[in-house]
Amino acid sequence: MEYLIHIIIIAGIYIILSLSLNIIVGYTGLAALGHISFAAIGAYTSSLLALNFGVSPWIGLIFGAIFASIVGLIVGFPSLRIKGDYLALATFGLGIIIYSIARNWVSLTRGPMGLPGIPQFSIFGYEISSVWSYLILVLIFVIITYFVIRNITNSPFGRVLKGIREDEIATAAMGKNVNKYKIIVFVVGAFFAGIAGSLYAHYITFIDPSSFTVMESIVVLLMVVFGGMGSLAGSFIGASVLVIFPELLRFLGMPSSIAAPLRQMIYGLLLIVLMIWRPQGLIGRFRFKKT
Amino acid sequence: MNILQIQNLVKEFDGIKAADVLSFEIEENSIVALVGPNGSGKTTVFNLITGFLRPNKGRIFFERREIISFSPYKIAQLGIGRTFQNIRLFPQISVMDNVMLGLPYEQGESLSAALFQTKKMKLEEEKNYQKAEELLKVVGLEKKKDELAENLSHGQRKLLELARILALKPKLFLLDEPTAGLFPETKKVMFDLIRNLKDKGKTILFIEHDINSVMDIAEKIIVLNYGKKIAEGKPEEIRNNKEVQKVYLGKTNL
Amino acid sequence: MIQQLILSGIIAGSIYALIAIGFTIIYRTIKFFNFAHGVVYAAGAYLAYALFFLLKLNPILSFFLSLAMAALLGIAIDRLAYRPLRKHNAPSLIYLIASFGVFIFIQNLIQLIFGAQILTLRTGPVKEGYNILGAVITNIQVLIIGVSLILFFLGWLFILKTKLGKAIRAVSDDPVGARVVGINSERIILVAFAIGSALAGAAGILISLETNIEPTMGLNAILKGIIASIVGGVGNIPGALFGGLFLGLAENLGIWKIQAGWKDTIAFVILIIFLLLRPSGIMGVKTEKEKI
Repeated sequence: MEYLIHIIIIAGIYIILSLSLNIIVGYTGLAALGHISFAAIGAYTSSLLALNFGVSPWIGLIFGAIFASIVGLIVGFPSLRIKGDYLALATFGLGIIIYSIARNWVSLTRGPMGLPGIPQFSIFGYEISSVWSYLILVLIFVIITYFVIRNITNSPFGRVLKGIREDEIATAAMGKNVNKYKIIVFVVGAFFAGIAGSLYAHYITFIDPSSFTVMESIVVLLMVVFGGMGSLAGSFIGASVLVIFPELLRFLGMPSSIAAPLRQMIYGLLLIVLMIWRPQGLIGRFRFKKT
Repeated sequence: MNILQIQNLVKEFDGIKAADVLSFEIEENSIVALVGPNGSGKTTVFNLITGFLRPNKGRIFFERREIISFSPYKIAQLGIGRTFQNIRLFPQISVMDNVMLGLPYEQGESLSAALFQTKKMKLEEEKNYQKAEELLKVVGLEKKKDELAENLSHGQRKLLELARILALKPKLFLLDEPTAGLFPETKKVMFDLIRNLKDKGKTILFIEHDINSVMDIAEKIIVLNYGKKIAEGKPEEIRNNKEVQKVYLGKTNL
Repeated sequence: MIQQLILSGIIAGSIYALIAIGFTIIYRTIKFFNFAHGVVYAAGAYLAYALFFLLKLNPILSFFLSLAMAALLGIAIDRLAYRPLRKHNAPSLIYLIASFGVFIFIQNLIQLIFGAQILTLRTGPVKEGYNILGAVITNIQVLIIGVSLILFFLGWLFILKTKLGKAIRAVSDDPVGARVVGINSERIILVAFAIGSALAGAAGILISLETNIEPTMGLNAILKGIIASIVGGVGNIPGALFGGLFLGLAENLGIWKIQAGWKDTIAFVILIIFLLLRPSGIMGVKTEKEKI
């Protein structure tokens, strides 16, 4: 049972990641392939604050999210000049740079050795350490993320985002400051990814760079694409299915040396199959089209 | 009074001059046609005026204000609205949302208004919905408002693009081949709409290939060839201009 | 020290160039960033390993058989993953995502078959090298540089001189015109995938003579190949050579004063600088086209 709850917690964290990537990729149409690096920044910021300065994880989480969104702001700038595939490449590159900072700045991050003993959240002196209490915490954040992203996308603001996705030039011709919207979207997306990273760190209580590889970014993208770009319900479905489904392999009694690559192979195959037969995802409506 | 002044505009692409020391002026509340053979630089002129391209040399004034360094969105906000030769709609959103994207918002497009779903935003949104509905009625697309724009026919797309630009309420309309590919009856609707705009005090500069209809509707015609202005004047003057006949009208039966 | 770094830079650079030219040949026909190219590179190394160590074939035969199989793998990837997308007239971003799918699928297939541990194609201990201008270079390293450059120039000659190469250029520069003069673009794409993938496989095998192989080796390779292409100018073959060597040298000279772990960071900083300031690369033509 505890294991099942654990899986749901992980799914919840991925839902936050998917929702926050969806606003960038699915609503605004910006091909961002480095999303996990924002989570890395959130995770490392709040873990290091807690470990080195005894800062409460709550405050660390907020700082982590803010720092992630500052980096999101920096990542957003290339998106003003670089378009399409090249933006995908640039964000991918930034993802690798952040990964390699986590790996190589050993004096700060302890590099591949990782950071053990990250404290857990506590409330009124009661530590949120059981999976049940953590489940509640994660669900609260999932709900907050959902409502924030829903409100943003379900508004004139969100309509401009869709306009940018559909045709950036026409959106500018309508008097909309496209650059401003793009930057805001990166900042908001990075903020929630930072929260997801921090939630992960204080839950597992150990982080190392291997949790934040570029392949993780691709997996989050797959979740968004699988559920449906521009569909928030799609992100719930995408993240849940893709976290829970591979666990079934484990229940079939496969050793992890087989289950791990098999799971990745399924992910890979799913990406190909989706692109061929259903690029708009399970319940999405939007798909990238030739202009 | 002149609403738009173009002075000595030069724009080169890989050594080819798309605008070659081009100058002209557009009188307020007039209908002006920009004509010329393919590749004569008509659309480039639009892109330069609306800020999507930067000229190598020259100046552009809108209402006596130099706009050469402004971003496209700023120029649109100042009151220059444009349509595109190859129609640039927002294909995967509804017809209604297409028009609403043209409406200039005050409140609703800020992040905080969206985040807190403010009452002001909702009220404004309701008002704008009605405005957009009216505009769709003007172009006869009110029944299609919930369709995705990509499902419209070519003529309907042209009309939707016009409705969207009407929503922006510009003072100067730049219409890039507004009647290209339209059936005669839709063409007539389009020209009626353009005349209507003039009656409401707007200024229209449009690119057109159909030389006969240009003669009918335009008060002034500017003829371009290889980025140069070769003639400018009233339709009858253009009709009788030797140079124009040589490079452009020679191929068409008048 | 600096001499040794320059040598390392040239070795890395010639491998990058070889990856980049294969990538470029394919890119010219399909016009998207084919990430799966990197996994073909890894597959090349593993195929050579299987033929040489498991089937005990002669090394030269193993090399050429692996290239042929890499070419077939490239063709299979195109047929199964990309061709259906061409039928749907998909935009390049869709191809890009699909190519990630191919990449992940094959990389993990390799891991499933060979395991995640590192393997080696070396047979004996590393021999003493020769001393050239203060840098120590081994036989193997001479072989790597030599063979990569030979293959690079063969690839270049193929594009410049052969009928098929000219057809690839025609499809690349003017797809509609190529169709008009009766070039079957599907067949040309197939040829491009075969040649490009064989070159990627060769690069994978060559590098494995020097370093260990592991299933994840392809990601770094394709990224470096793409960065090399962008530095040189995407689609430009001499640019691929220049970009490869530039990147190899920049990475290796860059770690003269800092730790070796930062190599990749240097490469990606170069990528982002180029994307922002000169996306058309050093040898690409910078054109401002009427885009609206």
